[in-house]
Amino acid sequence: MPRWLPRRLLRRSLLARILVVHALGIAASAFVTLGTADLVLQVRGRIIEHHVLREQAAGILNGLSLDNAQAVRVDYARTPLSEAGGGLFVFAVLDAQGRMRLQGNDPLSQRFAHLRRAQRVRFLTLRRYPPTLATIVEPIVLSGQPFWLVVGWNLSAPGVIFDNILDGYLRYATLVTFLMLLLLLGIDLAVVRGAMRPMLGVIEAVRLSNRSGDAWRLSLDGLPDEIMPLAGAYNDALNRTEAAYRLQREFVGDAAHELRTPLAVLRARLETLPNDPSRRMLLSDVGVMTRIVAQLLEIASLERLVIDADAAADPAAVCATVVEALAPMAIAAGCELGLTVAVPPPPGLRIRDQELFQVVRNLVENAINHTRDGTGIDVRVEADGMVVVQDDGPGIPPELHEAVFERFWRRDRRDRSGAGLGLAIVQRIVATHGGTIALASADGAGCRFSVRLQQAP
Amino acid sequence: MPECPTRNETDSPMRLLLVEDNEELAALIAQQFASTSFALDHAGTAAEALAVIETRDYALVILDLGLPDGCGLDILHRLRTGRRSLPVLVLTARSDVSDRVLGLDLGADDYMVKPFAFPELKARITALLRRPGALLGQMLELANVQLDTTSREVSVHGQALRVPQRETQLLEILLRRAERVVPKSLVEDQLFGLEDDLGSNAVEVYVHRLRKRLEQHEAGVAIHTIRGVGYLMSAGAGAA
Repeated sequence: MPRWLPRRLLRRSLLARILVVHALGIAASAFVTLGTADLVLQVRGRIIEHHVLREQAAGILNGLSLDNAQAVRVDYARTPLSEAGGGLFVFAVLDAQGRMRLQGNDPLSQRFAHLRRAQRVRFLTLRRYPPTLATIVEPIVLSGQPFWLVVGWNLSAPGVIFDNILDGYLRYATLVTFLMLLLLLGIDLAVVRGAMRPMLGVIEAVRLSNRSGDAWRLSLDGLPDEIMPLAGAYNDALNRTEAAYRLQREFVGDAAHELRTPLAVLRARLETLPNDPSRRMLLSDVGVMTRIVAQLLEIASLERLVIDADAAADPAAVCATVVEALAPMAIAAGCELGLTVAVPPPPGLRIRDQELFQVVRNLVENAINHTRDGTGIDVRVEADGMVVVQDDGPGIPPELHEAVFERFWRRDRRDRSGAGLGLAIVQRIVATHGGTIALASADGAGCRFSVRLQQAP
Repeated sequence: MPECPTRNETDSPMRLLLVEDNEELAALIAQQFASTSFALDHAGTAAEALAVIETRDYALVILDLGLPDGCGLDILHRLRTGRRSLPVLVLTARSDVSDRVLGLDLGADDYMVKPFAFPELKARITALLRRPGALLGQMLELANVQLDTTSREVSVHGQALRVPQRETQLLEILLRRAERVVPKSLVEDQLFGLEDDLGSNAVEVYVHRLRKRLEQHEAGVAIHTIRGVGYLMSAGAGAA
């Protein structure tokens, strides 16, 4: 895998994977095609080359002779070459010892001295120095003595078109192949994008499904066969999830009934007893049990909390309902409970009434339960929609601020006013709705819980 | 107008129907009702409940939502689609607000979450029976304070008390919803109607006067101000 391609991109992007594999495939096939073409051309070229060299050699042999002084002579008039030299071909004649017996019309022929000689015609390509010479070494007989005629073809000389054709062909073929590669990748892109379009439709539908109810399912109409199983499996998963939710909902309902009815019986039985201090204590114990059961059920039902994107709760109205509902409890505990709403009234918040009610109710209950007689508790709705529950009770030292939001945490284990779930419930609901809750307090200086939630669309 | 039995010293007591599948709880509730002026019948199933409602005139139904043979909401629906407007107080083990809303939307007049205090149950039933359309013209009572809604006479400790008209009206509003918060806007509407030149603290003035008057006569009730929301009258001396 090339270094410059980030591994993550390849693992994550289907398109990148397809493009890389396809590019590698095309490059490999282009390489094979061009290589084969090159090889064929080389072979064909060599055959032509050999033919030309044989012809030249035959022509030159025509003009060669051995004189009486055992010197090899050439009569240029009987050869295709001119005496002036400078042509495409150079030649020399070597004897059995490889000595130069005749040097042709061109100094290049000096390179032929001591070339290997054999009893049959051999072809060599001399490329150690430029120019490159295609060479034939042919054994010949002059006046009964063996010699070797060497003819070289200067392939680098201007006018030799043979190699130019080869070079040019390769260059163009490479360019065309590269353009083809780009074109094919472009087509790939279009094909993959097109193939993925129904997939993107499905993704968009799933993304928007949050706004629809529980009963929402992907429509399988018009989906390609390849995507259908995925969509079907998704719907199956939704069915299973919904069934699990239903089971959970039923469990919470059943648990509520199974826990609250015995409490109701217990309470009714206690109420028939004569009114004395032990009856009052028992009734108060039942009250605590009732609150713990209520908090446990509340925690359980949070597991199936549904976020409604279109919800808009009026914080002023909800806080008024909470204060109304808890006023008797506050009076019984000797607390002074009040509500302050900013003018003009704040905008709606992105949460359902019942969850905002739970949040504020738990905060106020918490304040009532953990402050002394005569404490003032103020529920404030600020102009920007922030809900604040403030008391002037004993306060919480800063080192405990995180702990108060933990489940089952109580400042004093002997404190029997509840299960220590109220603030955990509050935090869970607020966090689920993308809001924040802040606690400002010091020992002896009261508590201020500020809940900030997103505004309704 | 629904045909309801009236409460009368000589007449038979007002009859309530309790629909509750838990026999123990039903027996205990019945035991507590025995010492009141109400008579209580008990049905353990939805079928039984629907059968007795057909045969007898009840002043009110106390309906548990969780029944063995079907949800109490079905009974509620049947009652509401029928001709009689019978007050229904729903008892439920579920505190989900959605269940409450469902109960009230379907026509329950009030609801209570189990477990409940019997005095509160009794107070709510009394309040429901006093609603316009149910029963009017009777005695409102909290601790030692009484108000006759027809003669407009107020008494504390059985001794008649002279109370100006507006304050009597305020006392009535608070007594009708004793132990519960009465929104300030409701008090304003009922006390001043469409009068438009009332100051912003007009209600406070009357509350203050009534509170002092009750304190002077050692009434066993207190008017609490729930700042920003309204007022609440509770038994127990000492106003906040």
